[in-house]
Amino acid sequence: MTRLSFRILLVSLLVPVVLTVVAAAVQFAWLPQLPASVAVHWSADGRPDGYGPAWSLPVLTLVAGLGIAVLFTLILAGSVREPGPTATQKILAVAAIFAATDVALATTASLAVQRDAGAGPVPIGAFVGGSVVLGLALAAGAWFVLPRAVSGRATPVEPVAAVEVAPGERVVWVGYARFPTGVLLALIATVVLVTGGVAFAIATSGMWWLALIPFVLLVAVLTTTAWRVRVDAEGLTVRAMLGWPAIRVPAAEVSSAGTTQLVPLGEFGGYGLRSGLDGRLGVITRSGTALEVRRRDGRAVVVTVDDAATAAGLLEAYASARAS
Amino acid sequence: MLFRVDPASGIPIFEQLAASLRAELARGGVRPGERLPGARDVADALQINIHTVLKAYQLLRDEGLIDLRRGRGAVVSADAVPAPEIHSAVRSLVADARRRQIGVATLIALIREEYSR
Repeated sequence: MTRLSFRILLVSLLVPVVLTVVAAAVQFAWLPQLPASVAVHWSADGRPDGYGPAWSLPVLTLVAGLGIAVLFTLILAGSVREPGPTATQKILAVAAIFAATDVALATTASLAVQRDAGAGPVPIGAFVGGSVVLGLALAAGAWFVLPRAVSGRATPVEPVAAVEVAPGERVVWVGYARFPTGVLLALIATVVLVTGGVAFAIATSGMWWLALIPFVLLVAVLTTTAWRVRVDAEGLTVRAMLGWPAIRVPAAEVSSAGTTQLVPLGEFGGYGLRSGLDGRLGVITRSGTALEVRRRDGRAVVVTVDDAATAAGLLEAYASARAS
Repeated sequence: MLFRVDPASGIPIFEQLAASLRAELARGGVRPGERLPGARDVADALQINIHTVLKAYQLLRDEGLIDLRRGRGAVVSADAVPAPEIHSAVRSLVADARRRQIGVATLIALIREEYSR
């Protein structure tokens, strides 16, 4: 882990924690003036449809707000490298302020209106809208407190020696970009749990459209967690296990191929099929060594495969054969 | 991992494929416990029949270099120790032979002779 600079900690941890603690303290102070049971959830038209003990809201505020701050700070601590935060990391840091502001304001406002009036209809849309606007304003301010974003790239592209291809010889490279098994199992478990939860919700509420949720999750898992990667005389082909989505870089369009060291969260903001803020297209399943291919038009493709140096070397060989 | 075949060489494709796999194991392009690419993917990439690839995989299984497991595909066995020393020795040997303008047929004949001692 890297030591985070004070300005990042200020944005991702200190401000969210202070906001949360102040909001929770105010809510605790109001407890004597509140009925024992308060509305904690409202339907879209502002009618309360969920109730809980009054103390549960300040506790929720505290747990959610502190959780957000700690989670975002841990993600940043694990990904920020010298010389500083990338644009993606700055977005993560200000997202912590945004989310913490939202939670603190929305819960405080919902308790404030119940102090005298009891649990009548409330302008819940205005509360949510107002806290989102304030959260965005604070996040925008925090953006300028943070240091200027550095380029997303963690390390330069290492050139590789071209693989030798004799005349008449057919040489191909086949590899895979896969999520680590543990992560994959966790994802599958999540899909199964969500499917079970949704099945229960449909059985009890009849909201059949909820079935879309596990379906979308399943498609997301199938299209992002495992990719076939091939280098042959035609060039580079990267295809998700279902065959779609696919990325192709014809050999004639390859300007250079090499390897690079990847920090997924810092450079691409996560995993799967990703567009980096520096314009690179990434198929990202893990951190570490990856294949990086630059096209003649300047765009680049990054794929996390093992033995990336060999894949790059073969692509170089085919690219120079096409160029000459 | 890298696969090489030369359809014009006269050596059966599955043997060429097996030789290319042995070379990859020796180079460390794939390590013990890791999975070899699926036979279908290799066949598609090389534009050859999938049975040719499976025949090469079976040859390597018979040599004890890989395990073929239903559902898990071909896995490099623990005793298929990659020998980078051999690989680098061969590389310098070939470079030396090239400098002296000794062709590949002569070099292989010399190696065969050394083995049969």
